[in-house]
Amino acid sequence: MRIQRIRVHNFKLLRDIDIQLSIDPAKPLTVIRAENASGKTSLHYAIIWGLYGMDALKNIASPRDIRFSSKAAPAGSPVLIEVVLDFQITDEAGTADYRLTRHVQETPQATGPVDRGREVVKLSKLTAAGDKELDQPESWLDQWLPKRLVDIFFTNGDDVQKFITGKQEARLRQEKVHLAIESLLGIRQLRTAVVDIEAVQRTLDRKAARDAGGKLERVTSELEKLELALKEIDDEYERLTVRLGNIEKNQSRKTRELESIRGIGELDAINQEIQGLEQDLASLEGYRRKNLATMTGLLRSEALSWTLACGPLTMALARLDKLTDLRKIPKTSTQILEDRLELGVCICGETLDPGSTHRDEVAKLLAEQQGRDPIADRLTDLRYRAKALRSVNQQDFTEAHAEALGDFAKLADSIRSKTTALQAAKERRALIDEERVRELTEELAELDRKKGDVNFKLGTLDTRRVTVQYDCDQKREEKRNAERNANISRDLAVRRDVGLDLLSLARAVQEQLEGPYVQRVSNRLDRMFKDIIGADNGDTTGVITSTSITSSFDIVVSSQHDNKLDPDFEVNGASQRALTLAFVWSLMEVAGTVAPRFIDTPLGMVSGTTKERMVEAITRPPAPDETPYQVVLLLTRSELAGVEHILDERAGAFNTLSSSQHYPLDLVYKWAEDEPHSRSCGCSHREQCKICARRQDNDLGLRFREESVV
Amino acid sequence: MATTPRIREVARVEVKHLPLRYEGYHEDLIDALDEITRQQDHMTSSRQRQELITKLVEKVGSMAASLGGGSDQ
Repeated sequence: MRIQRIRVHNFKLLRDIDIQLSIDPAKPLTVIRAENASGKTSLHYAIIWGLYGMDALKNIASPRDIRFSSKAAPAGSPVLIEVVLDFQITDEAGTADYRLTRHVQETPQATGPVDRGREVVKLSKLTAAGDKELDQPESWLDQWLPKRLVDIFFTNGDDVQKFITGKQEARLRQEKVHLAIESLLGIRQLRTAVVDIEAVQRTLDRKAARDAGGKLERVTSELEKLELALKEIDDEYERLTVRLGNIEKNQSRKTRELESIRGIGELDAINQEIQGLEQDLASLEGYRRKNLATMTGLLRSEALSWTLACGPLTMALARLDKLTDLRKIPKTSTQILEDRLELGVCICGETLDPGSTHRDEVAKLLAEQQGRDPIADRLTDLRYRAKALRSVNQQDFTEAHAEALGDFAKLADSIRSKTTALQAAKERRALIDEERVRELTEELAELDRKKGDVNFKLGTLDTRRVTVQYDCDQKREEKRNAERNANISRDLAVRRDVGLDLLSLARAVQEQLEGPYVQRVSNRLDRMFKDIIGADNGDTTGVITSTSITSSFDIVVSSQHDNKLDPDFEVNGASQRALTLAFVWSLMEVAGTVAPRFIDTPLGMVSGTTKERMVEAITRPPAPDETPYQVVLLLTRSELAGVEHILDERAGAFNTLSSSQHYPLDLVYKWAEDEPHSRSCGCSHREQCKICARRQDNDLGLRFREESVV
Repeated sequence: MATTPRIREVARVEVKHLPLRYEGYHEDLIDALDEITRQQDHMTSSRQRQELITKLVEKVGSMAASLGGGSDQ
């Protein structure tokens, strides 16, 4: 299916929208330019509703809460909501045009939900002879564009990402991937066909056996039972294998989480580290206290006084030295006279006997000396005491002080670095959720036990299968012999042969599609994904080395040494989008599915050359031997920036959606109607007109189109 | 075009491994398989689907009986 034209009436703010889409294989792209809140999402939902009805919007909101009519529509006035889609279907009979119309009447209420009438859907084949209405439009649409794959055909940038990654549970996401592969390649339909043909074949076998009667009927019935038992074993084996796979995935996820927690460091090791750091800090604090005591001592010391008074004291000592040189000090005569009086002998040799005149004279002289010069005494005293000061080296304090300060700085550094390390260790310890570690450890042990149980059951089934298969083979041989001797009608025998041929064909096709065709999707996915993210195909040293689809249809992203990456955590947002788009594109190309690929805001989180490569990859026209396709991108002006040149070349149709509510802040021109609504115009990403012109458009160098009418 | 054109494409290759019970037998088998897979969208019950298969097998079988001249037995 390729959609040619979309008309929307009264759906949200889309009052009267008419959009033409490109169906030209050489220009597969349609660009719908629209800023935020211009009606992109409404258009997206309008198309989904038009194709599938309210049922397809159930996952967005409850039908009771959904209101299609504009909030500006007055209560009590009925509003007819309508979506008309014109599209082309090409099959072996050729190409035909169709029109799908869906409408519903809604009456807004003053309070509460709207009153909505019954949806009316009409599908017509448009022919030269007139329109021919088709019965069961839903089943035709489901054949052309299955509702179960709506996520593949119509999506938005965020959902594109969620298809393979995001908040959904991994199992659900893989189920979506499985569903897409199985549905688009036809594997799902073939599985059902094989089961149905087998059932018909069993009926034919029973009928043949009944006709032949006797031994053949008995052998056929026994064989049927054995085949049923074999099928049950195979089903159980498959169920257990899936379970084993789930257990292993679960184990891997939990182990990854545990390793991630343990990657922070083992709790015991961190506690030891914290203890050691706290001891080091206590010891350093002791040294710092000693260091401070040393500095206090230095500040109290005579050395400091000497250092501070060094200048004046030196001058004073020099003067005392000068007085000494002049023999004014020290005042030695007093002492000598006292000594002489005590000895009783004068320095002249005469005795100084008590009562003698000589002694009296000496005593008188002493008294004169002692009374006459107290200043000299004081100077003498100063000189003797200053001798002690001379022995204090000025450098002692300076050196001791510098040394103490140096020690202090070193200690401060050590304390700071140890405190930082302690803080970091405590933070790491805080990150470890001990409870979670315990839970994970227990869960992993439980999973290990379950894995053992499943493996045991698989082993038992293996043994049983060998026995039942042997019995089956024996019974088939017995049946063949019985058939040779039986009298089965020719018609019935031929029908059985035809049924068997049909079954063989269905099985062979299923096998081909499950094997080589899925492998083709896988190879194409790998190439396209690497093209978009700019990874070299031969490079084995990059973060992402390859992507593939496994035999169980899971998408796997591999890194160096064949390590598997978790797309949720180990692949960036742009690459996650690239992965999903590459998957959808590869699958639809290999499946040969002609269907729209409609993406709302696909380039958020993508910029620079990755954006260019992504647009280049998803708009590349198909080669003549490839399936033609149609891609519709709803882009904001910022998403368009940098990829305009690719759109010039690849886009076959352009439209712009604008909202009246953006005037006057963003829109340049006021529209005639006052009621809020969105409008479309035919402006491309290089143009502006009186409907869509925004204030930044002149700066963007957009050309003005006069032909647009407001 | 159905969303699963590859079924027919692969069937054209695989059918060559089957006996040609009459001229046009392979094309009839491919058509039958195509019909079975396409009609699944319109038939929700297995009974309906098996009835369709029975009818198709009978149709091709009667052609084989009249044009092919017998079964493998």
